[in-house]
Parts: sequence; structure tokens; C-alpha cells
Amino acid sequence: MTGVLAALRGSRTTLGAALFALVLFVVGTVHTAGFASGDNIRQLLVFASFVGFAALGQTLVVLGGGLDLSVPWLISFGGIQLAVLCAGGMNQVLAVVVCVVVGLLVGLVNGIGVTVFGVAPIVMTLGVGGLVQAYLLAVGLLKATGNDVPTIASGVANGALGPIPVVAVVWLVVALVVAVVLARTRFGRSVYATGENDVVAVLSGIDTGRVRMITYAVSGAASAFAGVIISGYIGKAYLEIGQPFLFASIAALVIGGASILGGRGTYFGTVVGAIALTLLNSLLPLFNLDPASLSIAYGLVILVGVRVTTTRGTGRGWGRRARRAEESEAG
Amino acid sequence: MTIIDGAGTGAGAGRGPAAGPAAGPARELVVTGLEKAYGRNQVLRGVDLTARFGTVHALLGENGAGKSTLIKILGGVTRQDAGTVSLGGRKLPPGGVTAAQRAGVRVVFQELSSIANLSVAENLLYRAEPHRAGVVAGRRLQRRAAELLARFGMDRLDPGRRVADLDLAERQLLEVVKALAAEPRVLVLDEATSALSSADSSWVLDQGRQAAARGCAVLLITHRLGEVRDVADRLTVLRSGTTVLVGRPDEFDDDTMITEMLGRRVERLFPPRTPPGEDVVVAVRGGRVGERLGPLDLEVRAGEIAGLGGLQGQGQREVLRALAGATRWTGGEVTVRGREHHPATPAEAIRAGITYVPEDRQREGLLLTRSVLVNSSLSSLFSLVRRGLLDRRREAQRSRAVAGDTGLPEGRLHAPVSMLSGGNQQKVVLARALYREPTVLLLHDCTRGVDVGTKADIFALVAGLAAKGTGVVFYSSDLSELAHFCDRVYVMAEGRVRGRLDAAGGELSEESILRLALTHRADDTGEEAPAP
Repeated sequence: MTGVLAALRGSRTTLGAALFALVLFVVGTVHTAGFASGDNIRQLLVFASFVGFAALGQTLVVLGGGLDLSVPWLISFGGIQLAVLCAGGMNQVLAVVVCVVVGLLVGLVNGIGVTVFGVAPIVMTLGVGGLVQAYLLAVGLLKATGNDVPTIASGVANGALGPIPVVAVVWLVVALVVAVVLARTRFGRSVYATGENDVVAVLSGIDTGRVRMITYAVSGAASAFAGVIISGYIGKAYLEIGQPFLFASIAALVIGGASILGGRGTYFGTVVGAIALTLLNSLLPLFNLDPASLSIAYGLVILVGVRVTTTRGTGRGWGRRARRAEESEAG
Repeated sequence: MTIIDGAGTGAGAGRGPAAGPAAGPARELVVTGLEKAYGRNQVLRGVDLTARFGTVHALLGENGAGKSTLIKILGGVTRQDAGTVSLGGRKLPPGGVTAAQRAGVRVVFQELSSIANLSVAENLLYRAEPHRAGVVAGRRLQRRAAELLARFGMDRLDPGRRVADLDLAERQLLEVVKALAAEPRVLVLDEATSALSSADSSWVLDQGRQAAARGCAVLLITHRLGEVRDVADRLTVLRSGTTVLVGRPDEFDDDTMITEMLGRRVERLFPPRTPPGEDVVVAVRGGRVGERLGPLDLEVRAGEIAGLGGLQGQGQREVLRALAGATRWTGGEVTVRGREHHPATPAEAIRAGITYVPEDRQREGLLLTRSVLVNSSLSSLFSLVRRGLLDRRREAQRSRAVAGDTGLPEGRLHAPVSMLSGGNQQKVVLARALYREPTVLLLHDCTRGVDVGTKADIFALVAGLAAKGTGVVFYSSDLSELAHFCDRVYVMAEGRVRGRLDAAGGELSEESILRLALTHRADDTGEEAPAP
């Protein structure tokens, strides 16, 4: 709880994102009857948690000054590998664990490439993403109609605890844990320090290489897990299920007020960003736009949203933070 | 005390707005009633300044007095709220770097502005590259750059080198050449000498004089009063955003200038010292770092302030970084309190009680957007963990205490350090180094660009720490600090210790350091003797 409060205090931009989400929600409610219905809200929460899991690792990686472009392929991997393992008769719980652990290891490969071999994050993670895709294609894991999803995945994706979807509950718990880790542990501090200024962090005794490696590993694991629940929801696992989530994972954290350059932001912000993004996704189609206009509107709203929620850094933005940034120039 | 400059209007015959820049009879830079606020923070409250063409004009004031803001306005980087700047009788349009440059204003900023991935030549002739059909002519570019460097007597900068490979001092020199090459009418040197050795400093000052002789108005910002006496024709002192003193340097003694800058008297810059103990805390025998440093012998006793002297770039930085674990020793024997110590990372050194205040507080020292609290505890987080979580109450207590020790203003614990003045930022870096009482404190030019009052605070703090038994290794580009603050100075040249000067033996003085540093450079090709 303290983590959440600290996040709220620390980040006015998160408040901006929450406001943005609220506006979208109100517009939806006014425009369409049933938008605020329990069913729809539950549905939205499930979708938002997909984005939330995809963006979990991404947030850590970006806070640490990196970027993980392998997210969508690891999502596809999580779904397909699980389906294949279960089709082969493996215990379903064990299969989920295997998928997540392999995701973690793939993430670790990203981390090693970036920290030990000094490959640029974009290049490294894109390359690894390509390798994951190649693995799925080459090993012949794919069925033309999509692979059937085991019951555990669809159970998690569709189950409910009372009125609340299971996925949303899991997400809430994970979000609280991540918030505490970021705000209240040495590792959390180290992530922020590494992302803001690598040299300062190293000279202050932080093992920035290890910190980065862990963020990439977490990202791999979180993406694979996202793949499990997303495929469970869809009911089929195929190569393209991860594709929408590359953009979404980055957009959510940026809307939530994180700096894409690292060092600033919170997972709480990303959660709000994921909700805002999901609202937007479900709202726009209600306006009966043709596909082209829909894409344009989507892009524009996100740009405006990001501009409104992140005013820091330009020195010309509004709000106290921007003024402070200018004051710092004084003297 | 305040002498208002009446001479500026003396040659005012035939002044008119239509007069061309060269013919303009008001041959001066005039700043009147300049005001600027950032939010509620009123930085300038009516600054007046008159600097005549053909003179060097010193601008003095402690950190936060408004000097930087003033020159940002001159350079067109920031726009003033009120007041005017005029050049040779013509008003400068407010805001706009290009307009300021076109009017002939060139500012050498404290924050260096060269492009790291371009070469020296490319930076020098940036946006003025010689080209053939739109393609930069590489060889001509090199030649032109070499000519420029030679013209200003800076041929030791190789035009082909990448700026990223230059050290801080060389980058600073490049900035100065870049500004000189534009043949400005107003040249602003913002603490341009603070990172430089005395030889390089005198080159900069000499170039300033020569530019003035060519008819330029040179605005010299420095914390070194000696420089003001050496080269400035006039001076202006700012305090809290207003002009408090104007006149010729020889009209005032040092005390008067310092008192005017601070608004209070500084009793003494260098605190009284307690004699160091006998226990050796750090011993280096035959230490080597790569090809360039060593073999090197060095000893620091408990409670001792050991200086690293010599010209800039003689291996002092490498010694400090190797002791701090930022680079590795490649040979030799290093012990801390008698135990073998070869740290592979700064983390190891920190755990062994060795803390390091790096050279460049903005790039190596501080998380600028983070609070004083977060910055001060950053290297001691491991000591604050309780059951896996940071003990934030203890952190706040300790941070508040150590911020108090360093003399940071109270109630700024949660302020981002970017909001603090340079002097206070330096104190934050020190606070981190003192968070857990260090066995060895490594200080790399920690008084660079810091005002006299803060300097006195820092010296008192370090002396107090030494009195409690910490061994201090102190490097400064300011010879007088080495001579007056240290118990002992190891004078370095070309990666080796060339001599040891003890304060107790009466051998230690600015002159003896310089003599030792220079005599060992005499055989070297790079002629570094102070320019005539």
C-alpha cells in the first residue's frame, strides 16, 4: 500500500493518466449504453491485465534504461509452447512453469547480450525475438488452425473470483509486489539509478550489469506468462497473438508517465496506462469509423494523451514539475 | 563602497541607432536593469553591467548569485523578464541564440557543448565546413582546423581526434578555441579555467587578453581572484541577483571582494589541522594501471590529507579511480589497513570503506532528477536493508544527519538536486561519501567551480573527518589548495610520483609543487611552461 501511495505522491503524471482514463470512461458511458455495465467493466479489466503483464517487464527494462522488443514473440511463445507441451501429455501446471522459466531464460539471454556483450538493446532484443519466432516456425510447433489451448490457460483467463476476474486479481497482486519492489527495495533503487545515470550508479557501487540482466529476465518471464493467459482467453495459440502487445507495452508505460529514456516512472503508472489504453481500444470502434480513420484516431488520441500526461523535460510544459525543471537552471 | 561606473558614456559623441556595428561610438556592452525569475525564484533583480570593448571585465559572485543566468541571457539561451542588453549602442533582441551569435556574442559555457562523436576539426568548423558540391571536404577541413588551432597557440589538440576521447581540460580548451575562431565582439568565459591546470589557465587568460586587444569585450567569470588581478581591467560583483560592486581590481583587496560576494566575512578558507597519526591506511607499492600509470608508490596515513599534485592529466585521475575500484590495478601491491586490496568494482571499494567523490558532479556524481535523500544514501543502501526492504526511517534520519554535517540548507532533503546551486550539489556528493564514515576518502577536484564560502565549508568538513582518522587523498587543479590544505603532496608527472613535499618539513608551497612538476616536464615535447 505504501508503495502505491508513494507512487501517487511521486508522479503527478500518473494522475494525469488516471484523469485521461476517466475521461475515456465517461465518454464511453455517455456514448454507449452498457459501457459501464459490470460485464463490460470485467471484460475491460481482463484486456487491461493482458497489457499490464506484457508491460510489466517492459516497465522494469525501460526504467533501467533499456528496451525490450522481444515481448510479442515471447507472448506467442508462451501460448504455443504451453499448448504443445500439454498436447504432449505434460502436467498442465508444470507446463506453465516450464514456459515461464524458459521465458525467463530467454530474457536472460537478452540481458547478457546487452550487458556483457554491449549490444544495443533494440538490436539484441529484436534479434532474440526473431530467433524465438524462428524456433516456433522451424520446430514445427504450429498448426494451421492454431494450437488448442489447455484447460488451465482458459481457466485462468476466463475464471472469476466472485464478481472479479481471476486474471485481474493476479494482476493486482503482482502490481502491488512490483510497486513495493521498486519503491522500497535496494534493487528498485538500483533500477532507477541505473536508468537515470549509469556512470553515477556504477561509481556508487551498484552492479548495473546485474540489475539490467534481472530486468530483462523478468520481462521474458512476464511476457511468456502473458502469452499463457492471452492464448487462454482467445482459446487458440498462434504466431500472431503477441503482435499487438509490442506497441501496447510501450504505450502503456509512456502514458503512465514513465520516461522512455529510463530512470523515471512507476509500475503503478503503467497499470493506469494499460487501463487507459484498453479503454481507448474498446471505445473507438463504437464510433463506427472506417478502419483507416480508426487507426488515425487511435494514434492521435495516444499522442495527445502522452503530451498531456508527460510535460516534464521540455521546460515549456505546464505544471509544477515543468516549472521546477526551469528553476533548476537558475544560478 | 559601490562605485557606479560613470566613465562608460564618456565617448558618446554621435551615437545613433543607424550607426553600423563597427562605427558605433558607444563601444561597450551595456546591460541595464536585467530581471529574471524562474517560477517564484527571482534570480536577477535588476543587474547592471558595462563592459567596454577592448577590455577584460571580471564578473564575480558566489554560486547562485545570478552569473549563469546573466550570461544565458547574453547568449540568447534564456529570455529576460525585464531590462535590456545593448551592444555598441544597439539593443539585442531578447532570446535567440542565433541572434546573439549574429550580433557577435560568444559564450564558453561551463557545461561543455561540443559534439562528442565528431572530431575536433568537425566541432571547430561546425556549420562552416569547407565543402565541394555539398560534400564536406575532409582534408581541407582538417587543414583549416589545424590552422585555427595554430593561430591561437593550441596545436596540441589534434584536429582528427574524436571529442569523446578528449579529457575534460582538452574539451574546455576546444570550447575556447571555438569561441575565439568566431572573432566575437563579446566573449564570455564562464569559469573556463576552473578545470584547467595552471599552464592551460594562463593560455586561456592570455587568449582573453589578446581578444580584448583586438577590440573584443571579454567577460571573465571565475572564482579565482588571482586571475582577476592578473588580467581584468574592471570587475562587477553580483550578489543575490543585483550588482553590488563595480570598479577596478586594484581598488579593492581580496577580503573586500569576498565579503561583497558573500555578504558576510569568511574568517579563514583553510581550517586549522590536527597532525595525522602514524598508522598507514593506504599503501601502494609499484602500482600500475595500464601503460600510462606507474610504477607508483604512495602512502596515506590515518588522519592525513595527502595531495596529488602536478600538472593536469599526469595520472592523478587514474590513481584515484583505481583506488576507488572504477578501474583496475594491473600491477603492484595495494593494501588498505594492511590488508591486500584490489577492488574489481566500486562496490567492493565502498564496502572496504573507500569512498570517491568524482571529478564531474553532473555526469559522474549525481542523479539530477532525484532528491538529496536518494542521492546521499545511494552508495550505502546495503546498510539500510531490513528484512529485504529499505528501512526508510533510518535512511531519512541518516540522510538528514549527513546533510546537516555537510552544511546543506535544512528542509531540502526531498528537493531534486538539479534545483540546488553548484556548491550545494557538491555537498550532496560529499554527503554520499560520508554516509558511513569512510576509512579513505578520495576527492577529485571537489572544489571546482565552487564559491569561496562553500569551499571553506568543504575544507572544514574534510579536516574534521581527517581529525577522526579518515585518510584523505586530495586532488585539486588549484595549486594553492594543495599547498595550504594538505599534510603532504605527491607531485606526479607522466604517471609517476616525481617527488614528495611535506608540510611539516616546510617544503610545501605552490612554487615547490610547480617547480617539481615542471622540471620533470622539461624533457617532454609538449612545451607546457606558462605562456609569456
